Amino acid sequence: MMAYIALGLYFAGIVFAFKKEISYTLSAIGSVFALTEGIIGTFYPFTLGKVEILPKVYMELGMNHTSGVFMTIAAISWIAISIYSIDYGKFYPKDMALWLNLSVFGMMIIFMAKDGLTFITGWEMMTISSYLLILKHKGSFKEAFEFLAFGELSTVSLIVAFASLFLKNGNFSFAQNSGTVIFLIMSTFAFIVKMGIFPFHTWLIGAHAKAPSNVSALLSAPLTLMGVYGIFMALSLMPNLHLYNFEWWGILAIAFGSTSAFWGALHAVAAKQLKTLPAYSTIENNGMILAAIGISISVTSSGDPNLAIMSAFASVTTILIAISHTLSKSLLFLSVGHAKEALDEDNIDDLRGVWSAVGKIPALGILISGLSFSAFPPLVGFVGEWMLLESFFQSYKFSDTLARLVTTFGSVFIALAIGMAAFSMVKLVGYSALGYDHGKKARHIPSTMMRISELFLVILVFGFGIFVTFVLRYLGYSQFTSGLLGVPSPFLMISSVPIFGVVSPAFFAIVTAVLFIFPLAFYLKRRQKVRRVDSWNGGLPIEEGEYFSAPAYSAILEIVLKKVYMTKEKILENKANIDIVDFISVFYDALKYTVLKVEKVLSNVLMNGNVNAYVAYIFAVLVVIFLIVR
Amino acid sequence: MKILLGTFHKDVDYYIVQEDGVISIEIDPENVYTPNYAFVKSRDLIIGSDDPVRTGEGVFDFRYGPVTSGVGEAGIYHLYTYGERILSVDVDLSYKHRNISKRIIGLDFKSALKMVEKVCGNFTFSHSLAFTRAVESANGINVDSKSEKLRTTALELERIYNHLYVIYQLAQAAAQKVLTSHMSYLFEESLRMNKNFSGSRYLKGFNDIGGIKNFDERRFENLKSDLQRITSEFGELYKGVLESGNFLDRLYSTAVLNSSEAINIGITGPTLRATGIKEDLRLNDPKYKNLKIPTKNEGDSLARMEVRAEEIFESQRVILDQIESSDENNETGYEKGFGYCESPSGTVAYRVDVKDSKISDIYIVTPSFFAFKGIANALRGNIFTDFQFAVESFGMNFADGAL
Repeated sequence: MMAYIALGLYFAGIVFAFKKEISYTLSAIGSVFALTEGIIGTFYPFTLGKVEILPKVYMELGMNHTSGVFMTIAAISWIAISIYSIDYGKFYPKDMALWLNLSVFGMMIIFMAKDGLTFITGWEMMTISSYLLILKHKGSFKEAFEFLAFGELSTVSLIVAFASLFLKNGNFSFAQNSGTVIFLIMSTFAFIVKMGIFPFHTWLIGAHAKAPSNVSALLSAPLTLMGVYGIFMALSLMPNLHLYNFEWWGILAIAFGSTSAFWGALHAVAAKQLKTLPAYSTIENNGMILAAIGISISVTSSGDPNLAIMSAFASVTTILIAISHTLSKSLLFLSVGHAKEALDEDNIDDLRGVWSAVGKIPALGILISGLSFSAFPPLVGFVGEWMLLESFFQSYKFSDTLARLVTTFGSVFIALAIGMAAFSMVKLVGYSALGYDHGKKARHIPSTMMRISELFLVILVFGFGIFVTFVLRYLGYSQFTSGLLGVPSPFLMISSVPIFGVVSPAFFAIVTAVLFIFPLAFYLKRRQKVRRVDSWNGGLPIEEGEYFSAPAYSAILEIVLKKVYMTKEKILENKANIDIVDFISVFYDALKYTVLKVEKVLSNVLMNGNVNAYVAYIFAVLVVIFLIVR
Repeated sequence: MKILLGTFHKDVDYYIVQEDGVISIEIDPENVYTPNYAFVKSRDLIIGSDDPVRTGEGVFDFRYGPVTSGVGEAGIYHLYTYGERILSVDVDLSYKHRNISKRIIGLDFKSALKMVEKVCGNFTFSHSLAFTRAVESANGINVDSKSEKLRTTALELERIYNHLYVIYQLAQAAAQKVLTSHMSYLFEESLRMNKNFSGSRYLKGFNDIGGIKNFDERRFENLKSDLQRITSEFGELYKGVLESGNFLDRLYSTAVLNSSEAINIGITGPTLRATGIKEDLRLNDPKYKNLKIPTKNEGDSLARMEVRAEEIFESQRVILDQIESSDENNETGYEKGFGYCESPSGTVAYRVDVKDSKISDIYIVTPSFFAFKGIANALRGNIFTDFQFAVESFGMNFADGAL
């Protein structure tokens, strides 16, 4: 029922798109219903209705534990984005509200799909409306098109996957044991592309960076979450993985996941543009998610019952990182977008002084999300990354040498990624939220709803971290909560049974808060007496052109790792800069160039206005078709 | 190969030019090689790299100074960078500018000499010697051979302690703790040797117009033993230095200045000799017999250090030679009102006009002024961590460059 209300509200949002505020408000209310339905679905699976399209071909909606969990996570983000858009949407045309509602509508359909046809319907709704949303930003055609191209690559793979499902079962239904190996391979490929996993990540950078900020948040958090959900859904159709000797899939996932995490973190460090950095951070986080899935699948596929607990831990790790990423990344994009809009700047270097110029809440949003991505306890990001490392630490339990080797190297990549993520977030937070003020005045924009949305997410980033043990219980993994020494149950999180590693973010928060009271009291008492002076800078006041720039912060890495970054230090007409390239994009550029070249040749040969050539072409195609279909 | 070191106007333009160990004053601009003419003429107190790069994405001015640890005197290095890489350098000497030339005009010779000695503490004797030579040539004063001998000795002592200091600074920059401690000790010992010899750790007040009077010959004996001890200890250390890849790597290929660039700027002294050019004002000084001029071709910080190190041994030989040699009169002809000498870091030259036993006009050439330009150019393309190795290897002073 709630689901219908939510879908109905999104539909109303589409209808009322001419009145932007109402449309976004409807979307927000719809998302609250979606959230409620997600929570209900987590505990009480249900089906909503079945429509027969063709004989044996049904479209069916419903919800189970997995989709309920994922919809709950996504709905939180939808709520925040919708509330934020009430203010932010004022800078963009009315049809943005339409496509935003349609996109969320599509995502909800994906979560509730019980068959391939419904799934792909929702998938296309989401992809096309997201494409149109990216286009709302001027000059983003190329990026939007790239997004669409990769989106359709996912769709084509999904079509093949569902076709395989149909061949085996005679229908598209997502029933138990209905999966096939081809289905799993093709669908996971589609979802990996959607998650922006290396080397299919280039579309994500341009699209996230160029899109309006609310759309960036939507693309980065819930949309890539669809990929994660998709993998879970696909795997759930094949519960007896060990029968298929599927360990290689897990190992590949670990390899691609950890490479992606490393690559994303590496390029996030060197990012100069405000939204490129969070975009690469998305690649990094989705890489971590895939790596965790990989560990879980490797363990499950091995069929070793002693490792079931490890598989379960890796599995819940995936969900926790997904929660962490969805909340923190929504918060980051929304806060950065707020500041970006108010100061009208695109580069990290130019966005200084958010705290004083734009406001404390957006600055806090950038700070808290940055800290969360830097794995700062007790925030939710810390929990996710701790769990991931714990999963990797337990890889010694693998009996397979290859799996051990890949997890060992994978953990090195993940550790580097975590370190570099902190590096990149210090760059973003340090320069924008906490950096020296440029003295630039922010333009006054209506921002009450934006602030409410940001504050809502800040609280959740704290809350999900501190009370993670309750989240684990909610997800059905109470075996990973415990108590030890002075920490009462269930405030302690454990990574295995018997206990392997423990952490208690709640107690960390309590201890830190208590310890903080003394310096705070001391500070408050002496506040009046403290004399504030500028820090010493060679005896002269620091001039505007003397501030250490954001690109300079990461330049050392770009220079030292010049082979990896393909760094070029350029000096042209007395102007200098460092150019770096994501070498994967070089490959896609070459592909694009080749296609264009072939297209040009073909158009010259075949489409040259010569009637004889046309006729010959049509005839040749006809013959080929006859030969194929005969 | 002519090096333009200065220009001044008296009815016509005059050019101070160094060539083959001699400095002359030229009138005909056709005879003068003048790529650095504008630089020499303006004597701007802000010295920048050629083809400066001060803008671009992320490019900012990393201001180092005027009161910062690592910059020994009040001066600023504006290092333009997009992070790590030094794109361009502006050196601001203005904080140390004391308008020395103007202050000297109108002073009597004694007072002027006192002020000249204070131009730059660690080049005290070089300035004093060039100035006294200028005043002596202006007034037609002949200096006795003993004084010349003492002057030569003092000049070489100044070279030794300055070179020791430069190597000490380089060792410190490379965090070579043991070498730093040893070099610091040797530097202190060399100052004490100066004190024993001249009465001043920095050889201040030792020289005088017309010659050095009242020198106790017995001081030579102490000098001989002190000198042998210091140079022998340094010799041991230097052997170790040449085997320390860790240290040498920091200097090798750092802040390279090639010979043509150095000449175009007006660089003299060990910095020029480290580019392969055998140019030294002592070459034509009859007091120096069989002088060996060490040169290196690389033009980097390592080459500059090597030249200085080898010069320490040569200076020791020269001093011992002076102690042993008998007093003989050697004619050293300077143009009227003109005097110069080879300071530890290059040419110091004074040109004075004299009227009523007072200085009526003065023009001073110092090596540091050119060295800063050399630093500004050589630092381009290096990274921040090279900075200290580059700067210290030139052995220049803000006080000397700014005047």
